[in-house]
Amino acid sequence: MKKNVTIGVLASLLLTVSVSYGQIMEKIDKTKYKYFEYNGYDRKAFTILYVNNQGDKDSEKIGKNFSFSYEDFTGRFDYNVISLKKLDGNFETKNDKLTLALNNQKIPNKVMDYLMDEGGWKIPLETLNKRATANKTDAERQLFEKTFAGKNINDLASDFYEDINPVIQSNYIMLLSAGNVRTYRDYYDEIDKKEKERVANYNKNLKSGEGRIEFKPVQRKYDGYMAALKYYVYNIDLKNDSTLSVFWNMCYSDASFRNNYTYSLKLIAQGTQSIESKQDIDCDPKYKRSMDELYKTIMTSGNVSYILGNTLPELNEFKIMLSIYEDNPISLKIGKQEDLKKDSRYNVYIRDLYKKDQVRWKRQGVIRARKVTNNKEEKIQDKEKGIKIDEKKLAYKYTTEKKTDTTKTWVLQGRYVSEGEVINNGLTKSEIKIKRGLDKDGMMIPSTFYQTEGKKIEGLGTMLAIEQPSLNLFLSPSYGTHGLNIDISYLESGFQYFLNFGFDGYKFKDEPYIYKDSGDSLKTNVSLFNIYFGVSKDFHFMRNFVFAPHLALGAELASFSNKELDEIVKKHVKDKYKEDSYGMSNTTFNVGAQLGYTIFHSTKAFAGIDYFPISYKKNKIFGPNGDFYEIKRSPVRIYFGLRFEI
Amino acid sequence: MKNIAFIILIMAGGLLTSCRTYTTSYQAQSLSNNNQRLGVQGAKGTVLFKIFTYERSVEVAREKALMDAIHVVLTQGIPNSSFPNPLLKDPTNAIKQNRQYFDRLFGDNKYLDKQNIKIHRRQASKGTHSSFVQLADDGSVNPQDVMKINGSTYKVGITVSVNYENLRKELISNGIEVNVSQGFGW
Repeated sequence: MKKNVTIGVLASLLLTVSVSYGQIMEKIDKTKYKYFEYNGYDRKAFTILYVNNQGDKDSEKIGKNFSFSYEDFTGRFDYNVISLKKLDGNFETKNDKLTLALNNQKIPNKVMDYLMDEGGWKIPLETLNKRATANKTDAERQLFEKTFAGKNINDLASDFYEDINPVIQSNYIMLLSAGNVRTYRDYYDEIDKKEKERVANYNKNLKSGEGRIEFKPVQRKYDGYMAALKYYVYNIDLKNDSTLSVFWNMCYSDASFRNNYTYSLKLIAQGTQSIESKQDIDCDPKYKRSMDELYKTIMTSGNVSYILGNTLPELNEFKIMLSIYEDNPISLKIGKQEDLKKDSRYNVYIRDLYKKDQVRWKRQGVIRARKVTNNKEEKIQDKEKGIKIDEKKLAYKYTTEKKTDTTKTWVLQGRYVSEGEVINNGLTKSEIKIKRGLDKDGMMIPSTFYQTEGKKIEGLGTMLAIEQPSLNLFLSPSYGTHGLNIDISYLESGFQYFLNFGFDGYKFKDEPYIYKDSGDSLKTNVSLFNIYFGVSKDFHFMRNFVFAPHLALGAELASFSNKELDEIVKKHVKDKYKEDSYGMSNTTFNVGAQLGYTIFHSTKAFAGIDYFPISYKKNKIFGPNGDFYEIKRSPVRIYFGLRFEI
Repeated sequence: MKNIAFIILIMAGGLLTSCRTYTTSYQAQSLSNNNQRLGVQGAKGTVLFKIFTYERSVEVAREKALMDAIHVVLTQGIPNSSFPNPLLKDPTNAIKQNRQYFDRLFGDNKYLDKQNIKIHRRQASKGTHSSFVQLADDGSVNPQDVMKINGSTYKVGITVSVNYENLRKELISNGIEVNVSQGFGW
């Protein structure tokens, strides 16, 4: 009886615990964000300034040749356009002196003047609408516009600060300066000099019997210049309550106060980017440029765009995090302007209750961009079409009637992804980045930048990004007795270009080859190596399934592992059969398809079928008397495998 | 046989106890009734609040939030708001006596017994409650207000605006006793 009571009480407790979970969740007073803190997505804005560095003789000369327009830079960020584009200063000096120089010139004040509608300091409706757009629904945006129109901040409810403050806080100043210029000739001379010294030392310390080595000058391929572009990125720091309070209570209402106010600047990133202006030494004289002409193009807007579009987005400060806008189809309010590309993958996170009273961001699934919207500003689109535009006209034309264009995605992995969940592009494994090695002789200058929190990221300056490669690994048990196929493929717009390396081994145990000359049976293994290049296309359906037909061209090579047979065949096989028999090299093609199931966002299980229409007619092993044996293998091959997408 | 019956009895007791803890299946959080940001201009006779509801998806939670919003206004009131007391004078008895009316109001005859039931969208749209409540903020959901509780349940916070004045008139016209002191602050 006692035992039964115990069981009953335990069962009762178990039920109580499991169902009253609902009660615990209402008492959450402590939240823990495991991965990141979500603050919504507001577009960041930059002001760019070139500094004529007094510590470098080339800096000013390069600066004179470098004229830029904000229209030339990437659309990933917005820009606060001030009339000043160049500064004099010492770029090698300490960080605090640079901030002092910026404040002496009242640069942050000019930036905030631009943001708050120069002169009047009204609420910059268009700018705010544009920069806070990704966090809002269409209805919210319309309401936002309607409520703000012609109003002073004091007339608005305090709730509106939630919309305005992130935009006020997301303004950055980037200081740039190029220097350390050297010619390619100097660079090659230096390499030759070092090589000469190495050769001379080697020859000098020769031991008897060792041969001398000759000096070989480096191959001079280019003519031109290389230089280092240094940069600092500062945030106009209005993130704490006291500075924000001063901004709204004093700067906003008092013109003389705001003109004299000294803004706090926070260093976000600093680094060096290698830049160059070069041409092939043996290029066509018709197109050859003089050294002076090359000097003028050492620094271009493209260099700045590279830092803005490729280097800075690696920092947490500039990563895009935003909530899913609609869930049928799953839509995002970002697009080409944010450098979103078709097939880019994004992790989706949701707040998750765990350990009774703690909340963390947990990955809910992975989505892949299916149709990327062109949400670039009109000015950028016009520029791409070759239409001349006015730099000062930065106002974003937002039409309230028009529904926001969104990027459509589909779920690559995960059961349920819905609106209200958050994507974070910083955590996805959508690309592999291959870093180009740094040349000891300074050919490539590393671009190292630091976050002020102390995190260091190295070597990004010469980074080559390959997007969406996938590594496919197939095991093929049905063909041969053992084998392995590895596909390395590159995915582009839904098409995969793959290179397949395969090895199939055959063990003949029960039906050995009979070598007729002697009448003996010889057991042997046959190894078949193949290499294919092909293209396939992924068709996704029912969320987790994929169908991928493919076509490939390739070559095969077979060999015996039995040395005795190997020798006999080599000795006796007639010359005319050589190509078709021993060695059995064939060019071939195959068509086939795979059916896959997404186990994890980066892993799929596949079953595939291949058909080899040509090669299998030639699967003959010739004997010494001209007779032959055919390998019994089907032209159809069925296999299973795993595909890992990195 | 007796022992088995005893075990079942204890288990049933446990189950009932646990169910009782689950009756509060939503939470209401007051908001300023004059919230420009949410497009609410402090309309007379309305109350604006955020309701946290539990459902299998955000989409369904949006429907369920409307039912929960009416339920909380009828039976509890919104703490720290201009509408702190229930609209019904004696909620338990009023619902018991006018069960048919309230089933029609919510469009689901099980909802009044258990607010934690998972609803079907079609059922939710059958109720007449939707004429007294609307989604504020275009029904948009802040990621900070969405939380996964377990494999199939989400806690979702949705801002709603309830027109309690019209609801009061509707209740009175149907002969249901209401709390007359409620909402005269406006």
